[in-house]
Amino acid sequence: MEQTLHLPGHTGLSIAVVALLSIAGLLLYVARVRGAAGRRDQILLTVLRMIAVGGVVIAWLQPSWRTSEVVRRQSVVPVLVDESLSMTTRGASGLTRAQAVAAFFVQHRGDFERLEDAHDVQYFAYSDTVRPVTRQELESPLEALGGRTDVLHALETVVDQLRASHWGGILVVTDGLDNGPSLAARAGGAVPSPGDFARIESLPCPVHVLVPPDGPAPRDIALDRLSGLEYVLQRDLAEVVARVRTRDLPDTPITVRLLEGDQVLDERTVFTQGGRLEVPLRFLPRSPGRRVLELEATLLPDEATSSNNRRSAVARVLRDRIRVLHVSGHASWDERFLREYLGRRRDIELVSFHTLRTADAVTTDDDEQTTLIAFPAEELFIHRIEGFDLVILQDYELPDMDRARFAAGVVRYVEQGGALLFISGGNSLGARGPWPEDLASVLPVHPLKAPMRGMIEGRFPVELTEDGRRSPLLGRLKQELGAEPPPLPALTPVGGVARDATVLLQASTQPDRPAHPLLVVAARGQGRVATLLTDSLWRWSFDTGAKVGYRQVLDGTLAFLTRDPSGDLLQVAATRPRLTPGALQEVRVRAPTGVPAIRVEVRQSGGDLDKPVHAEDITPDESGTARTSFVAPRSGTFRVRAECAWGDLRLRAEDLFLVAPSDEELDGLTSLERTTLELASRTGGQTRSLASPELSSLPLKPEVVARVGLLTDKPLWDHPLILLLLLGVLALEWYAERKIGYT
Amino acid sequence: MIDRISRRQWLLRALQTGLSGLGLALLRPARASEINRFRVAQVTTGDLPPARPDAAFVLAQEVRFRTAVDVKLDRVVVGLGTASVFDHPFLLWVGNGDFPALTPTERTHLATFVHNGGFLVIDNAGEGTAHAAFDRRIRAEMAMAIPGLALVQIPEDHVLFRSFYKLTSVFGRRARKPFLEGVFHEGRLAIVLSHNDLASAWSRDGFGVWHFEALPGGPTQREGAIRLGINLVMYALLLDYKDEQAHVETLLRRRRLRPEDSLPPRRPETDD
Repeated sequence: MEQTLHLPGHTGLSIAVVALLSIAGLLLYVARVRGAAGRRDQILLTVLRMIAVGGVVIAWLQPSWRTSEVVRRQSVVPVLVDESLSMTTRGASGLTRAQAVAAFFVQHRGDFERLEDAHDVQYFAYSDTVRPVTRQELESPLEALGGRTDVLHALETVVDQLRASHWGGILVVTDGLDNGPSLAARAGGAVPSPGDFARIESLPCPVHVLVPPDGPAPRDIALDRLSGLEYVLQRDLAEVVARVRTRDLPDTPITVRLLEGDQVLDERTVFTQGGRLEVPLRFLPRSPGRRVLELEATLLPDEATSSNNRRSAVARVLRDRIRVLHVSGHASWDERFLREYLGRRRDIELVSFHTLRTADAVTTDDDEQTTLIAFPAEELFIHRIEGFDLVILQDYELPDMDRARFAAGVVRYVEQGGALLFISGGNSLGARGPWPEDLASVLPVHPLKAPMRGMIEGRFPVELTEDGRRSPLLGRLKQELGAEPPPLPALTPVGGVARDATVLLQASTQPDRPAHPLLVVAARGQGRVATLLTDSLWRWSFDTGAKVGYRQVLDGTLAFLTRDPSGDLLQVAATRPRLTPGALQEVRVRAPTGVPAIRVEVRQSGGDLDKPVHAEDITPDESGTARTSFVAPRSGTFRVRAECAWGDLRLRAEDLFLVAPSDEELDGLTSLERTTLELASRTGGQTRSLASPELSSLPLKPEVVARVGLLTDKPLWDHPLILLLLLGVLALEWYAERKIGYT
Repeated sequence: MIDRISRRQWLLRALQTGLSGLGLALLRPARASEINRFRVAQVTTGDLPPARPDAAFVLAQEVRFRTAVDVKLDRVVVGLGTASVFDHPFLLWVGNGDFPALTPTERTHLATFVHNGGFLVIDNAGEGTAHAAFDRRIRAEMAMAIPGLALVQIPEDHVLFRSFYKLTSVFGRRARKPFLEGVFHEGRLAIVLSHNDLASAWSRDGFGVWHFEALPGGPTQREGAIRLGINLVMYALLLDYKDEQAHVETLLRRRRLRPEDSLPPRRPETDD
């Protein structure tokens, strides 16, 4: 209910005209009586005339008290508070930005209560997404974990959600850092698109930005960026450069570490010299594919922020040509056909050493007349072995001199991710001397209990084992070789295979006896090994009908050993190697045609492996391609695994991606003016410090009052006493004029 | 003519051969499987008996004496028309005159042998017109058996001349032509044609007596012929290994493993 003065039928113009005429008439009257009466009489007459004119005007205006029903519509004022990671940055006062914001809300509790009385105030917290919060929540520091700040997206989301018709203004409490796709581009110096400015200007009301009161604390070590990861080759020393920014730390030792999981890849201690530092770090990537590396710098107790002391990055280790070291104990047909096979593969870079003459040669020639060179065992097995993706020891025994060291070098190479193919023959695996016990930890086969010299010779039919048939490496071998592969004439006798090894090919020696292992594979440490227990597989290559099988066996064995992803029947790839929490990740899977469904599961590395963060069965299209997407849940390293059945085979593939806050969020020290200037200036708003006490002075649009019904109109001019008063005034004026003598 | 040696020399050689065999037997208690042991098989065509039948055995013997190759010392003669040629990737074909045209089977076997990775040494041991007749016939047969593959002169810098011994020229019992010819298949030398009667230079009896005199160089020329034979065998077994060895330092340091490793200039990835 509301009472207002009502002047029926009059407009402002008509009232103004009447008022002017009345004033003009009064002025004329005053001028007229001025010379005709004394001063007291002039005043009396003028007052009486004014009262009379006033009464006439009131009678003309016919005012009344109108009682009406009204609705007040409060203007909407959204308050958006930044909860991105950069709000954890500590200011010069010692408080983090989030703590300063919480203190502001506590300090201005009364202001906000008044604001809530006058406006419809809605509170939100935002980073790259928006969520509603209460004012009470804002009086405590928000757990600032948002990996990215996108204020424009947040504003548009809030405007879209509230759909208000009357906006009072928008308050944004932020440190000013924004790395959304639009404003970040501008801050980064790129040419802004007119569309971005149009989006800002299309906001329905002014945006007022409240920023933390002080700059960041003076002391800080920040890992600025890690460069050099764009082109990293497998088994080639990678040199990356960590750029470190320091403030207020003259001549202080800081340690920068490069880590992969818990393993420290490299570590360097440097002294700050003020400003920026470039710290070179090195590591040897041993396998291709994506790797998540972490960079860590010393954390001092009073730094502005700890978030910029650790930074994650994804390195994509590319497969160079496969480097193969082929060492054979003697030149032979087995060596020759293998060498020819390796030479034909254009993806292989071959380094080989073959023993051409031994100390027991009957005739020796002057070395000047031959092309023989000394075998660089030390160089190969101690210093350079890590540079090879695959080492093939073909009927080769390590040199007697320093054998233990060389064997240790080979074992270490395998356990650290190398690949070893051991091909037997008449000189190795106990055929000539003792069993190589110093390589036993990596070999997938055991020696005979009763040593036996030489090889077993005869005609041995070869067949795929159950594991071999299920293996994608050799699964097609049977089709290539037909029903019955050519028998092999020689086998190396062994006492059995290691418990964790897998026999892929076997040969029958006698019908009533267990088959003899022929191709045995196993994982050892981070590496892989395979043993081929014959020196006569070359017969397949020298046979028109079996040469395809020869290639198939070696292709499959080398693909297993070198973890060649290109040969995998099932391939999976996360399209974004790095993304921020809450962002959308897309996964692409390629399977052989005819696969009905592919199981895709995403699990966090080092997390609860029993609980995938995403699991789904997807159906590939006719070409065998399938896609799915999901929201990256939280920071961490995630593995996406695809699995499907293809005939008898069970195919598996895996990829890796990183979910982490953006580097700018981690940095936290970006200029405060980036976002605020754009938003406030382009929407007509203001930028204020949180320290400013005048919150109430912000120019917010007031409420809207709408009249929805008329209840009563009570006239004020038609009361009899007013008429009598007016007549009395006129009579008094007449009497006074007559008495004064003015007529 | 044969090289004449004294009785003392004969006894010394016989002793040397005997001791070598005994030494080999003691030093090599185990060996590669039979199929993987190296043999020099002599190939014949039609019903012709093998020419210079001792040559293959002597070449195998010399390979055994001078290298680490596990050699099976036996006398193997295989007919080109039989499936046995596919048990022996190294064949020696010694011709000393014209021979009957190859049968279709023999031609097919020759082509298959080359395409599957075999290595054939053809030695023209003929004298005078017989030499020319064999040369004409062998060229004609090869043109028919492996029509897409031509006989070309083997370059002097080919790895064949460095596969074990450093050789600067070609040798044989004769010194007719200073070059070898060959057929290349998929970048590999698959057939070598010698015009200088290598087989006669290699031929000797069980007592070490050479059957033929090497002319004009005598023992030095014969030693050259033996070394060429060793190189032929080593090339057959190792292909371009010695070419690779020439770049081994660069290859070994292609990738850096430690900061102190020097980086050689990276070779562009070409088809060479």
